[in-house]
Amino acid sequence: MEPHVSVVDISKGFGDHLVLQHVSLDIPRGAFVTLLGPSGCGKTTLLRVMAGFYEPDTGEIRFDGRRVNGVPPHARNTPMVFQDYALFPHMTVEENIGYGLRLRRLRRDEVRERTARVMQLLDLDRFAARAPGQLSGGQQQRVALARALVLDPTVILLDEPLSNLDARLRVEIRGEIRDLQRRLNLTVINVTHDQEEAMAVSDVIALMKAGVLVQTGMPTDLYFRPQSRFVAEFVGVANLIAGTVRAKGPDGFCVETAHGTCLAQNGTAALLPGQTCLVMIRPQDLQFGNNGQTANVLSATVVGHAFLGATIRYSLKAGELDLRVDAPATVDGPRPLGPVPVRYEASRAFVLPAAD
Amino acid sequence: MSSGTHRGGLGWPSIISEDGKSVRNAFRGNMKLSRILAGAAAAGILGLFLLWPVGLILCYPTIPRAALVLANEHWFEALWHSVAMAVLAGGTATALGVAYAYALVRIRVRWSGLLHAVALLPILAPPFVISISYILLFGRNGLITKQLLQMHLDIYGWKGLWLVQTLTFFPLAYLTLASVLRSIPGNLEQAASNLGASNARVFRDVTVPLLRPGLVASMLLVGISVLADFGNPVIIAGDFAMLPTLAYLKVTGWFDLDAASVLASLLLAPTVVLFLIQRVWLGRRSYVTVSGKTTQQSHPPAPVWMARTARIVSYAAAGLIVLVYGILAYGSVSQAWGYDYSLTLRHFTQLGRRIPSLANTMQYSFFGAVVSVLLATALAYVVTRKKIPAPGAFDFFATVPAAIPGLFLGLGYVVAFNRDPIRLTGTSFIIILALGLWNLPTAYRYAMANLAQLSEQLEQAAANLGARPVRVVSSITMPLLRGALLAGGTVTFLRNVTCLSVIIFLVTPRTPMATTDVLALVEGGEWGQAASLSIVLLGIALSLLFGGIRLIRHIGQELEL
Repeated sequence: MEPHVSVVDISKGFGDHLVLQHVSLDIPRGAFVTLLGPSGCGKTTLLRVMAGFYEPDTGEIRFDGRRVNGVPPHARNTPMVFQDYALFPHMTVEENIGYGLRLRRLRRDEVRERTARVMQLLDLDRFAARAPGQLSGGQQQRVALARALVLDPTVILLDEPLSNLDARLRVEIRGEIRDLQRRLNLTVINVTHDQEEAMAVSDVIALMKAGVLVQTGMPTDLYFRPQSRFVAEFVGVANLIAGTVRAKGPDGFCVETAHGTCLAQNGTAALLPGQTCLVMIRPQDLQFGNNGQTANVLSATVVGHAFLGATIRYSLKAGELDLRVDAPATVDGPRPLGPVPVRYEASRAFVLPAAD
Repeated sequence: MSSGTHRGGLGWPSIISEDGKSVRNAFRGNMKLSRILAGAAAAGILGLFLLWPVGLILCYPTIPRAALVLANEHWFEALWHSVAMAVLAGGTATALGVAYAYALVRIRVRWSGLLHAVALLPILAPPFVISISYILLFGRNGLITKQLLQMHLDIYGWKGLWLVQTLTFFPLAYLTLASVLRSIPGNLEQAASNLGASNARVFRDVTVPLLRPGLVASMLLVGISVLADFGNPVIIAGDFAMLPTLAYLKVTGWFDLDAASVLASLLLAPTVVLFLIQRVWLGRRSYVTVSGKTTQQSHPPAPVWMARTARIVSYAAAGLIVLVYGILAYGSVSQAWGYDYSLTLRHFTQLGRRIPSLANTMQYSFFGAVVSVLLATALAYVVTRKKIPAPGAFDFFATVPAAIPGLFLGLGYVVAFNRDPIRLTGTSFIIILALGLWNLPTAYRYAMANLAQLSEQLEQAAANLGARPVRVVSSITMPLLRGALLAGGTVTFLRNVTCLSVIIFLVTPRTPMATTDVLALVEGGEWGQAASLSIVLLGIALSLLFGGIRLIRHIGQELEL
């Protein structure tokens, strides 16, 4: 199936500073895609290139296979929800939401009807006559969303709209947005620096760093099969053990590390024996005790712990190496500090290249 | 100001732990006393040097005598003329200001920096300079009327005054609207564009509505300034009677204080009304000017017609201002304007006679600025930190001189301080005090802006670390306010140097000042002398400005006009 939105080899610079370098990305119809990355990675610029606020220096943006470079923002029909909502302070909530419809010269009663429907959908009816300044952050956020949804768009752009909300509201509203997206079969392109939000709502995450797309895939792909140290560390918490690939076979990799031999079922396909690599194990996949194993065991020392509710996160030292281990919390409290071996399953280890 | 930092009635005690109850009570008792003392001192100064002279003028003639004045004078005509001129010039100056601001802020036309500097000239120069230049161009011996067209035009009257006032005061409109334009978030315009609005629609649906409170603010500001202006009408208005000029004639010609007081009071009414509109109505109306925060976001392009209009209008206005000051400079080095245009420096060498006036101007202006800044800072401090009973009232009285025409205040000082117990007439003190109180709002604005940024938590942190109140002020508050003190001082100093209306009734042969000298020279038809003295005043004002800018930059801040 043809992708709904295609980003083809886009580069964009401001002055000497290259903000986007050869970014390519296909966005399927009806998908919730998140552009994720630290601040300054170019994710918002990419979103604004799609909306037409910036023209790319090279490359193409295509909607349904049609090139839209040079089409001004007002002719693109890519409604966007802005980070600070950008609600018009001189219009009421209802006028804000109906503005895009009025621009399309719809009949007045049709504008009213469609505005009312969207307000009902987002539970905004009560606020119709209010000024945006009289609403709470969460309500303003809903108005911004309604203003975009009322246009019956096929694609909608979200520019970190949740970042100004408090933690609880953020979780609640991101769930609502995800629900709506599924129900209306919308293509959503979301920008965020919050990896937890990205993993919770996205079908696809495109992780960016310094203007380059470093890995694109399902959230579970990025989490369990990171292709570089940056991805492993940006998405979730990672234990990374440096080593050299000793052998590679159908059962996986055998890696020699300073902490003993390590067997891993999965890894980056391109890695060859003799190359330096990293073995990644997520904190919940490390367990206390050696259980009689000789491979996939590290001798470590517990140096601290933090109670997180469902789990306790232990900080350990294995020589110079810092490790984190998540263990289910019990009412008896954390285990004492001191030396303890930790082990992991070969199926839970992933081998990735050492070079970024 | 009404909420936020105000906690538990007082700022200080909240940082003292609950168990230190006795300490806190002693502290609170102290604060109460100092609050009352601060309130009494502020009320005393404002009462004696602001409300007393103003009140005296309002109540000067008895009712029958006032009725006699109203029956005999053409006061209604003068009032109508004054108000009409304020409306006309307020409208045109604002229209010019919008185009100018749009061209510089949004379109960023070429030479924007230069255009900005040019627009500041009429604010920095003595206000009557444009009238002088206008007469040099179009008067009986005008360069254009006599030399080019060989015709005789009667240029004195409302049309000429309208033009001159527009040019004189449009920079106020420009500065107001530029800051409003800068504070419209780019995101709002981009959002409209994103929803499908063309550039023209974005301008119509978002930019203009958000600009509207700024337009009103600009018209009010220009309106008040035009109403209160004395220099341009006295030179240009001719037979077109206006309140300030009529009041001036009553005093200088007839020493009729009854009539002058009634006329000045009539002038006070519209300025106070405009001032109140500005303060009460506009405060609630502004969407974007409140924060004053400028945004760096990009905006959609300007509609073509607006870009074109703004570009043409701004270049034309800048060109006109350059012409005005160019002519003034030419006039100052011409042998005899209208007859002999050969170059000479004799007007400048003859300025030797004016050195006492210039020295007085510098001296009085400096001390006037000191009065403004000290009083303004103290008021701003006690008002923002609520260390005074009824802070709202003090805030009001610190800003209200902006609504009092300089002529009115000067007249008030003449009447109030020419007899015991405070006999100041003919001294330099009366001039210094009048200038100091008249410019209080300017200095107060700078002090308030800085204090608002100065978080009370910084002072609380110092107190928490063990600094006594006096030490808090000397080691935290004052160093952080230095920029505001210097900025307020620079701008009030500068305004004093070029001020005419306040001092016109207060100067005496023993205390001459430069701006009144210029007026005398104009009335005597000595154009070369008038032009050269104006140039010197402008030079002083510019050096003060650049000196102030450098000084303020030295401590790491910027001077905003």
